[in-house]
Amino acid sequence: MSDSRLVQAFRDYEAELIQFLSARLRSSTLAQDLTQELYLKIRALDDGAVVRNSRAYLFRMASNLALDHLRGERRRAEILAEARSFLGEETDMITPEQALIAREELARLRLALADLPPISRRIFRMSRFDGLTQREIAERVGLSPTAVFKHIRKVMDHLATVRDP
Amino acid sequence: MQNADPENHRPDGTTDDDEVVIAARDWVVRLASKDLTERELQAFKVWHGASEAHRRVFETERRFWQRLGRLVAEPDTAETVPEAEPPSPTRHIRPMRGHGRRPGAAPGRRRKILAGSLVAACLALLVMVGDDGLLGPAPDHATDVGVQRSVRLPDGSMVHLNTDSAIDLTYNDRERAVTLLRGEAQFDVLPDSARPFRVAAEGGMAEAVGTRFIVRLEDGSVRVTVSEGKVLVSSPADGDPPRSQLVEAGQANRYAPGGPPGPVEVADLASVTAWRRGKIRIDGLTLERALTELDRYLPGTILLIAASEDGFDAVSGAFDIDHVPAAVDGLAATHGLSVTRIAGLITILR
Repeated sequence: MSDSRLVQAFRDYEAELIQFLSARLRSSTLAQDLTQELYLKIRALDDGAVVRNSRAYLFRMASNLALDHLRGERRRAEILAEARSFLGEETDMITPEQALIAREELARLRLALADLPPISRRIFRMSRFDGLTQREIAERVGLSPTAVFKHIRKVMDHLATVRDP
Repeated sequence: MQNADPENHRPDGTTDDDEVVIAARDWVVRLASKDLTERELQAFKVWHGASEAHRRVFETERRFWQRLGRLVAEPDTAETVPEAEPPSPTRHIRPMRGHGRRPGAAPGRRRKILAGSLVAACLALLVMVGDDGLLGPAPDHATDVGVQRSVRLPDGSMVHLNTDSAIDLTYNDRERAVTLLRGEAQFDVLPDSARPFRVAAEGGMAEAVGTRFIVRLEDGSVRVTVSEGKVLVSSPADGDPPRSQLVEAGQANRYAPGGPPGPVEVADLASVTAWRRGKIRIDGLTLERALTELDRYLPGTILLIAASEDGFDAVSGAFDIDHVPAAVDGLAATHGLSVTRIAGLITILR
């Protein structure tokens, strides 16, 4: 297998690659993860791939991985911001009138919430108030993200039956 | 102020609106999840933009979600109950896919010329989002748009799936059979004289003993390209017994469903295998064909609305599979076209 030459080169430069990525990403844990990803990538390469300068090639790949990662992080932040704005998180001001009307609704909602199984309430609480992602909640309660989603949806459906029209 | 939802009480008793409410709540919960994916955001925008009714119902559910934020003051005894219970079945079993069931049934008129494309993009997206259920049983191995994956098969042979591809496996003691359901795959076959390795696609078949070859479903026909060893390509001619064609290394062959294998051609191996090295190689294609090639790696659709189809130069070049949108921009720039993207799903060149 001719791709073992790249793998060999990787072993030679592994420490340097980690150092390089640490500097780019300002995190050595992340740098190690990406180095591992790089290793998997070159292992999976077609052995027909002709690489003239293994070192330059490895560092270019590492640089691309770092760039992709940073881009991905930025994109994730943008997605979150967009999702928040669709939910109107910044603009939802509560007027006194709404607060007055909502007081009765709130009482009904609390009663309705009490009808629900404790696990559903707990998951709903973690999602709505504790700022956890559905994936994080899934890990904490030992369910799949899909199951977490369903619990929250079930709570929403149930509470919607007593909400103001 | 909460809006009453007039469509819930339509005199004709239709229930379309229930589906919209379910979808709107699904979206609120996903938007609030803090781990929304790019693809979901795009799907949401398509859904949200699709009709006035969607936006109105979403607004109701969004406000409801905001009001639920005020339940926070209430202490809850549930904190002391850590035990998980199996989730009880609800009527929306596949949450993010549920509203894909009747995508064409969205109420309202067709508004613009683009409406058809929007619906098409929506469909394409939902097919991608749904990983099972919509199209029957899930394939044994599959990739999403823009993703490549290598899989070791039970006999040790390797299959490399290109973007948006899927295979099913049937392994027994007489044969190693793979069905290419969509897309493109390279097979690195380990020799086993007792069990031929067969790749079925569109009623035809490519059979190898120990070799490397690529099978691609493209424009309704099947292309087999051999990079090492020999492959026997068989396909029936209009109900006749299958005809076969031996294809050797460096050669390619094409057959249409139900048609016999075509003549052997010289393969452009560098281009055909480029995806295995993360590249898309285009060698002297028309602009339209080149865009079709790039389109395979993007969610959504590329539309070419160009004035003079024959006026464009042929396209050649190598593009990075990880940076296809940039490649589209580059192609547009060199052809004097402008690029418009709608909801990240539809790319228009004109």
